[in-house]
Amino acid sequence: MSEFIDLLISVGIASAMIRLMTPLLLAGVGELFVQKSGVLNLGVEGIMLFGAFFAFIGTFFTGNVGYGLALAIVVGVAINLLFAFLTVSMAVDQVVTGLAINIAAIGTTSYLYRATFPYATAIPAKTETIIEVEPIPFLSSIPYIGPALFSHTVFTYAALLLVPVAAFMISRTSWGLRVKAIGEDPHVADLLGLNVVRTRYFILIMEGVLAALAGSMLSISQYNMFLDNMTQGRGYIVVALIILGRWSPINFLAGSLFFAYIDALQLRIQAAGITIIPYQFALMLPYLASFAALALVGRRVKGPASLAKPYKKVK
Amino acid sequence: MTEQLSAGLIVSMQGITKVYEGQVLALEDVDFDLRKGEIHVLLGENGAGKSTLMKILAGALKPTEGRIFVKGREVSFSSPRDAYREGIGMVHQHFTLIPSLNVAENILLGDEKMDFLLHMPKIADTVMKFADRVNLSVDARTPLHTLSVGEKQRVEILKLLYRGADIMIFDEPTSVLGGLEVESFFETLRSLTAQGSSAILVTHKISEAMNIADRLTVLRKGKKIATLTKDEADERKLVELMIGPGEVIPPPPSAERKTGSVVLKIRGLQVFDDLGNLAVRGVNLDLFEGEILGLAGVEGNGQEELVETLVGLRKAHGGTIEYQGARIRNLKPRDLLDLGWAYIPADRLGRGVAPELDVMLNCCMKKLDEVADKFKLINQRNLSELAKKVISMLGVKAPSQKAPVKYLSGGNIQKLIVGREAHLNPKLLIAEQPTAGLDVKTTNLTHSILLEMRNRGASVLLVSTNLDEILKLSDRIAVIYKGEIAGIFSPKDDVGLIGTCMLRGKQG
Ligand SMILES: Nc1ncnc2c1ncn2[C@@H]1O[C@H](COP(=O)(O)OP(=O)(O)O)[C@@H](O)[C@H]1O
Ligand SMILES: [Mg+2]
Repeated sequence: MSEFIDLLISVGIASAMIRLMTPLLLAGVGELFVQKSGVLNLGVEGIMLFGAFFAFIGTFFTGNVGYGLALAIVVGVAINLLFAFLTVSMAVDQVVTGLAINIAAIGTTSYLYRATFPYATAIPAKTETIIEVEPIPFLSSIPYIGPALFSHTVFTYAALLLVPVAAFMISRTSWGLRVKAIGEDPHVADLLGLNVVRTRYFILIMEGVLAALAGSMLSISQYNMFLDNMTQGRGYIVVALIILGRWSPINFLAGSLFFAYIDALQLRIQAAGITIIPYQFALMLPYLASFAALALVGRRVKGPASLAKPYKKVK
Repeated sequence: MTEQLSAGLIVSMQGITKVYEGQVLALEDVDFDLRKGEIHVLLGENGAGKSTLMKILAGALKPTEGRIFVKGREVSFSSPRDAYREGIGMVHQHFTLIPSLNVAENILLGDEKMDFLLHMPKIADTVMKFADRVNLSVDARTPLHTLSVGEKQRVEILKLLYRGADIMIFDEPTSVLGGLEVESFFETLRSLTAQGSSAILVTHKISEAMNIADRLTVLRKGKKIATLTKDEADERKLVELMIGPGEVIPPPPSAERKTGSVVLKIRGLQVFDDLGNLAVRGVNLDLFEGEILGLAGVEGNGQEELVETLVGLRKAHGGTIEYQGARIRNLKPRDLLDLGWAYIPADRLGRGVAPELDVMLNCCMKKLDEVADKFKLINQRNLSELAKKVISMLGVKAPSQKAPVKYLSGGNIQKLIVGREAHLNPKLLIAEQPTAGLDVKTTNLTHSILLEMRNRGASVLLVSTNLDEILKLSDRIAVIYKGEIAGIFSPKDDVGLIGTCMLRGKQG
């Protein structure tokens, strides 16, 4: 019995949960602002995958995670600029464009990986360094809580900080108010003199940075290698958690926590060699559980009224 | 440009031409000016180009050609913000409000000097103090979607004043207001111009124009026809300038009625509104075969919820509805269509048409069976033929049959809806504000269509806040007040009596 409790609640699982949650939060905060401004970018999945790949490549060849991250960010921003050009400037369908990015991401990264490391299918190529964990002095030495909460990379701390900052930006700043108006009705926003195009571009560039960082967490923080389709739909999870969390950063945090917890748990179940539960079922658990949980909360809040609707200014 | 200033001109637009998307010529070489402190009415039929001209002045559209001078300096606006910097603000034909935000947030939204940090209690306080100072008090914290149309307009005006506009443009502001609200709006407008602001009022209602204008400019088909002072103008002359020579207005056919049996019988109907308040409180009403029953009332007295329940868009809470002796409460719109009902909704874009679909489909969407072939697929030729018939009923002007309906002007959208519903040859028609915002010609045409239906035996429930319209068309008049039928009148009854009933409910 105590073994079972140990499986469910332990320092190890709490720490793993926070670690697994980091990419979700980074990408999610970016996507949340994007959706608040009335744009649905499913391509967040593809940008994460590109981010994971290029962070790995950059780090592998320079031995410096800084260069890896920089390369990932450049690619992430470039892709979202393309997305912005197509959907914001040309009013192309957002869902189609986002899906195109994701399909391109899977194909491109798998191909480039094989082209760069022809023998890597047998033994994966590994980077020599990964993003260092930076325990916070004093706090990290608190028993139990310290190792669980305060022994992570700077990106984890930043991601955790980003959520309340995002909530504050949305509800307490004039910028947030304008973003909401643009997401509700871009046509009206235009007539009020708000700059719909510039705001949406700015937010998409921000998302490009954050989603690329999120992807990097997978390849050069959680692992030290790149695997085909290593994001495994986490970008879609982010989109789903945002929508089910009714566009509230705090609900989104709760959803991500829950997803990450079940994810950490299924890793444990696999590692512990528990065979009663097939590992495929374990893999499915976090997805299923998060949706079930979020589907039950706050369905009455309405989303941005113009979400995913192509908008073009009258000339 | 000092000569303009000395002539008292605060705005001067010269040779304005506008071609939309490089295709639609909306304005051709139009001159327009505004004097300090005046109310200048811009008059014209639907599609004359009034909104286009004003959007250009307010920076929401760029002119294709032409020059604009404001306060003596030439300007070129690339955003409404630029226009605001010159003191020009506009209340658009469709409100530019965000329903999910509250009043204060809406008022602040366009203000570029807004602080980065928002402290809601302080902002609400500032907005309310400001509103009191300009005599337009509001509750700044109310969510916008709970306001009535008149209150929304007050918020729009506050928005202009808050941003410091002294040149105010109102695009068809009265088309959404009831009679009393129009008077109070005009009061506000007069007091604002008395304090030195200047205003442009866009309308197609001649009586209103004569009531409020210092000067009038008439547009017709994208061209400026004339500018006159109030003394030079009279109603006949304005009609002629607006409509053009040779175009006679058909008088509506005279009323001749043979009433049959009761077709629709409503008993004790109770309906809740969106906020959960009882909006319809036990309505009893009969609609006879071959009559037009006018439902009169000040806006917000439950007529909206009543109609929604009748057409199957809202659930009734209690009571019965019988159609030709059969209970029909809580049927779906589709079932009612099969029963031979038609509906002309007040919310044209939201309910009357599918704005993204093309003109053809919108014309035929209630008769898809008729345009389908034997495999139940839509036959393009049938579709186009039926659409042509619907379009010709009231002469819808559209760039093409394939254009999305949202690109049509409001008047033309309504012509399409009225044509489509009339073409159904309905046994029962519910017409909600059928002529709000329409020009004289289209209004008369719509009225003749309603009378024609009545004359061939259909029953019409005419819901309108425009008492003149009700008096002109109805065989009987029911007044709704606070969710109850407060009286049944004949159109020959004293208008004052009906008006009092609308404002105060049942007498004695
Ligand atoms: N966004 C648009 N694209 C194309 N044509 C338009 C657009 N808006 C208006 N028009 C056309 O321009 C003309 C003038 O319209 P508008 O200025 O709205 O007239 P009014 O306000 O006098 O009713 C109409 O023929 C209308 O169909
Ligand atoms: Mg107009």
